[in-house]
Amino acid sequence: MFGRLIEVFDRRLGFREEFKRNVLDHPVPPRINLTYCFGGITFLLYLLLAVTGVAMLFFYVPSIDHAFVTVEYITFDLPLGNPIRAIHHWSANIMITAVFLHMLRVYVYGAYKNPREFNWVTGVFLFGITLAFGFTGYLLPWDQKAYWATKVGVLMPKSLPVAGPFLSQLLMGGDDLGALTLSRFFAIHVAVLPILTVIFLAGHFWMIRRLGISKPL
Amino acid sequence: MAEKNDKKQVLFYPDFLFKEAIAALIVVIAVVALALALPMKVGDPADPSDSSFKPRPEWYFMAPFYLLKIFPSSLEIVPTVVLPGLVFIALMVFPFLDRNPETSPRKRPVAMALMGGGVVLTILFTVLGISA
Repeated sequence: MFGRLIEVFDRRLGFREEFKRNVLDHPVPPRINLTYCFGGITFLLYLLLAVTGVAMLFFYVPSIDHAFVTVEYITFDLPLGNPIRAIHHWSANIMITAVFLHMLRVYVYGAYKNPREFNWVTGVFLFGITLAFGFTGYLLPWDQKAYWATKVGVLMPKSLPVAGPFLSQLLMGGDDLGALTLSRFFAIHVAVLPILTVIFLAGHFWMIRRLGISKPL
Repeated sequence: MAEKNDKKQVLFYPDFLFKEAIAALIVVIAVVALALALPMKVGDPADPSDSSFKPRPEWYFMAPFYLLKIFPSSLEIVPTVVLPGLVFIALMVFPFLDRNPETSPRKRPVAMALMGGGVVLTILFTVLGISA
């Protein structure tokens, strides 16, 4: 039944052959080792974060009157709520580590060199996006820890002359950390950053496909 | 042996995907095990009037947070803007500055020293921040 359905679409779209030719049968260098897996692991963790994040979106309400209570509900009352939130939390923490190890591997193997300079550049953007995910996500539970740690963060650009105060205001959506900051961080966390990730990841993956994985040492 | 290996065409599937699958399985098991062993809690609701609360960022923001604490407030701009900005710019332009075609770490002493220094300092400030 499912196979027939795939057949119907494949006859028109031909994706099976494309997938085989472009992904599965793509040559990789011989003697590739396990350190080459950190990038794939990062992507896997991103997918886990997307799935658990969407699951929490069904219940979380991003307003200062509801954020804390809905997180409390997800954590203690919603069936499977706690493991879903915990998987989101741990995936995020391990993803930061995986990104760091992936960057170290690419650096040590000199894989960023000509012609792969822009694989590295898109990767640095993705690194920044990952940190921004962590920073914006930390505020969403709207507890004391979230509020006061984020306050330190949003006030950091303020020390920059001229543009600093404006940048801080832009981050907070006003003169103080409050309702507008929460809305803003929520929108950035669940809409802006995922879209940016898809754009930069498409470039990152496309260049890996075009230029191949660099040879091991 | 190595020569023989080089001639053999290695494909993403099944050669590399198999390794990826093993790594993926280990990571998924680790994440689920951590999630079940250490369930989430909630703190106290945010109270903007209670400024006595000691802020503490996630571990991966500990290094700049620690530097912010140890720098005098007149030099606050160094840990808040200058250092993070320089790190990002340096990372971004690095492939264009390093034109040495060698890929073996043994033949890239300068690049390796830069990385070693960066990694050691990052880990040091992170550990100092967490233990402070």
